[in-house]
Amino acid sequence: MRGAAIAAGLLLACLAFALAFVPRRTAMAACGAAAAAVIATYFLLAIPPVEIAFAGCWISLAIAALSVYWPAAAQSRGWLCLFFAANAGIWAGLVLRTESPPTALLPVIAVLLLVIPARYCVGRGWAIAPRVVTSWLLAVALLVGAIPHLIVHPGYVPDHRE
Amino acid sequence: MHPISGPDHLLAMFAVGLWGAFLGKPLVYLLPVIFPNLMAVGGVIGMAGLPLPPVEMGISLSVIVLGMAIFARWRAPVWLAGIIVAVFGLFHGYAHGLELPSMADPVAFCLGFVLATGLLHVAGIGVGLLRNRPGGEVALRAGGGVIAMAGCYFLAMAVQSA
Repeated sequence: MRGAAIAAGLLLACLAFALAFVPRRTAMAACGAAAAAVIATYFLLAIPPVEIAFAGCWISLAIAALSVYWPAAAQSRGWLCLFFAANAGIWAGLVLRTESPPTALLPVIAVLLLVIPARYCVGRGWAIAPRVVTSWLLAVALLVGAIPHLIVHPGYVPDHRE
Repeated sequence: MHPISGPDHLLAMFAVGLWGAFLGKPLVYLLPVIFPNLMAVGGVIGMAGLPLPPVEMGISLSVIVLGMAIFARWRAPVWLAGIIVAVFGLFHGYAHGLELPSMADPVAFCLGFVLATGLLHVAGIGVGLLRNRPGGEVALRAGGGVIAMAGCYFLAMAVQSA
């Protein structure tokens, strides 16, 4: 068990926080694109190598986390938002594909709803709240992304419960 | 749970938020960003097995310095406060990184300890806002003194066990 559902959920949570800073229509379209990408990737693509799927997930999370600090001009480019949303959806779908059952799709996609409270915070002038939370997710990505390259971790091989 | 169950980690992380509230903008939100991210870097260093000066003493020292900073109402410049918190974050992360290899679920572990850390910062900031109330500043400075004294106890224990 490597926590695929948690990893995919964190990626989509980070995307949701990032989409709080873009125009509303773009954010909604990007959420739709991400959800569609998750479902399509999960059902249409073959099971990817686990390490590649997780590495892509953590790198995409880092990009999404850093995007909250991009200049407003870059954030408002609709095609760029859609591209990153689709990218996040693809990697989330690939990670889920490695070990999660189809029933995990709905809860993970529902994480995108975090865009609603995040946009509320930004609208009320509390933009710092989603920025701080995304920085925490960046720290998680850094840590978990580095683990496979550092140690042979017992969490990465089937244990006696599996 | 370790950031919460370990009193040395708990006090240091709470004190980061408290000190940030004392220092005001921009450190009130910069410190909760810097600490978890440098803690993640420290965690990677710990997992990689790179040597660091005595970690327990560094952690104890962080409790003392942060407690004293609150007690003395030290308004450190932004860059210096950032560096202090970053260095202490490295020590705390290093200690967590050493514990990580025995855990079964790396994603949940990393998420738990980063979020617990962040929420302790937020709790510290929340309590720190009391300084605007009558007598609040005196109470908070007294709290800083208690934190520093606890740090002295932790340091004595660390020296004893070294």
